[in-house]
Amino acid sequence: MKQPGRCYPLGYLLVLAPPTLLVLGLLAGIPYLLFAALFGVAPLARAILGNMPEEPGEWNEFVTMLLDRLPMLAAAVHAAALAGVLVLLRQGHSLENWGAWVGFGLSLFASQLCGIPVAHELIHRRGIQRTMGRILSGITGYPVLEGEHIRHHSVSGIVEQPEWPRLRESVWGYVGRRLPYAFRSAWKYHRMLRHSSSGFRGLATSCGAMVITAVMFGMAAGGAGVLVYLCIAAAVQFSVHAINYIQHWGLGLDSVPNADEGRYGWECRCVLQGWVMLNIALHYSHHQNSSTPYYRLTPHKASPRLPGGYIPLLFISLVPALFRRFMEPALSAWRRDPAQQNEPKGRRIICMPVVYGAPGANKQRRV
Amino acid sequence: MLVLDAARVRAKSLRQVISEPGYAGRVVAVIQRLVAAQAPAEVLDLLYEATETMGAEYAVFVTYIRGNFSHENFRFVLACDPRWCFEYKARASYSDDPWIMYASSNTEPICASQIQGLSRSQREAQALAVTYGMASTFVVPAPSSGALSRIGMLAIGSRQAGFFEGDGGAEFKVLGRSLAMELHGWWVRRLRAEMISELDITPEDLQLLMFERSGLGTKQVASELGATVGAIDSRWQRLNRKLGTASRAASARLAAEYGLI
Repeated sequence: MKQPGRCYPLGYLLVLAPPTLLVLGLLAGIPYLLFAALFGVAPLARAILGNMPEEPGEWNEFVTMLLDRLPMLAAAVHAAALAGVLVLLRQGHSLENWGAWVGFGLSLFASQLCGIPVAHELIHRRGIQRTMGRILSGITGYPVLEGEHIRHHSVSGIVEQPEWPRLRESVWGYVGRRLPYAFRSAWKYHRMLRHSSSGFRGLATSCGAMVITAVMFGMAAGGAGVLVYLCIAAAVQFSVHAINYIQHWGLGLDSVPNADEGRYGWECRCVLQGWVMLNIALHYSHHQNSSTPYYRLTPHKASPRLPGGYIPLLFISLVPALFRRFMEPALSAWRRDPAQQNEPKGRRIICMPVVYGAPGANKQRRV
Repeated sequence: MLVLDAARVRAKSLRQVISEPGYAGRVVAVIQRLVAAQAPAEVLDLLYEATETMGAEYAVFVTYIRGNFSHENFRFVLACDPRWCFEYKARASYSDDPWIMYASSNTEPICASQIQGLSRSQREAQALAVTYGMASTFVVPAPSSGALSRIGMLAIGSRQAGFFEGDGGAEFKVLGRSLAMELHGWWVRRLRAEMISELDITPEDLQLLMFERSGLGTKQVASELGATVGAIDSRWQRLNRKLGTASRAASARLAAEYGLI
């Protein structure tokens, strides 16, 4: 089976691209640059980059140490980029019209959303790295990420509580159920650990980061700035749970009998997505061992495979009938033969739809 | 999860039970057999036998990594009402279990009724146990020493309310600790063997990890093993990938935490 090449780890530097493009876009007078790149161009990247290899890479310790530190650098770059953008706005680097403001807002949303996989990676670690994850999650507008996500890993397949979406549930229903539950769940988590650093002190760190960020937005653009930040925070929170819906739809106990022990999650091997989002789409593998760092994750051989990347599926999920049209065949194909790995093959301009054949029909070697 | 139902009611008090001739000897004899147990099913049978010999009806043993509440880290041995087990799982109660929380930061056995500062959901978890027969419960932490991060918790339950709160708790505590630590030791050995098998860790890998843990540098290790520095670096590259770590220091730390070395 194909292993990643020696230059493969360099791709993970693209995790720094979203905050960088946010600043560059503002400086260059193209405020929508990041949004266009992430939501318009990136989904087409499979045509050039294809899928990631199935086998893990074996890199020397210097490379793995750098990869291990990369999320900390990314967290710092996210924070610095946001501060830089706010300073530029305050210094009069203003946007010319409403269209530019909308473009900037969309790019800001894209950058904040891309901070979540970095924060996610860091909160699964210990010490200063977990603290950086808390701060970044607060900056992105989702301060309860640590508490609700750690609890999410302690349950599997349970659809009665909003930990796993129900088979017959739309993203709107799931997010509506999950959002208030996530805040309660995070509160319970931090209260449970109140005698440790992950207790209320941890929650205070992330909430404090969010408050400071809101204040900075206020200083940069007054009340309108705070309102923009809070609206983007709400959009980030919706998107986080919508992606959680995509990651676990159809894999709960109402659909798969051993979902509690299986800890199933959909996976996607799009290389660019893996680089930019630190392999968060290798979700089945992540749930088998949440302590495994992103650069050691590999696609699980029997994982259910998404018919496309997160960005197109995020939009598709907003139309429940359309989402089911794409996902039900994928779920049925996986149930028939988990090892078949039905997924977008090779380098394609458009990654959907996937053709699902009889068991054994798609066993050609993938790129 | 392995479950065995036990539903016999006992009318004797704890003091009466432990005062029976040969009580401690019979309990110790069962505990000793744990060392030689080969499979979780055998451990379950012995847990049931030990529980009954000790004068209780139900028992639960859980082992997990301290501070890590991810599902994959927990292993349960359940000699109790299976309906409680299903409902416990459905509510994901172990992520907020007051007994597990107590064992995570204490070493002293305690009656469950004496655990303070419970949240509403923790009180509900405790009430669920009462509903399914554990009217009185004795919680015994199984701590670890050194770098080992896996710990355990044994909960022994009785249908009789106030059973463990009465006289005799001090003697019972000694035997409870012994049972908890033997169960804990069994699981540490079992999970170590599982990890070695699943990750294909060789004796040479373990030797390399011990050298690193002892503070030996690469040149010293190469000299000890009669290999080149490059060969040692390559071996570390492969071993780090197996263990999912970035460096040899992290690998040695992980190996110590998980009981590999």
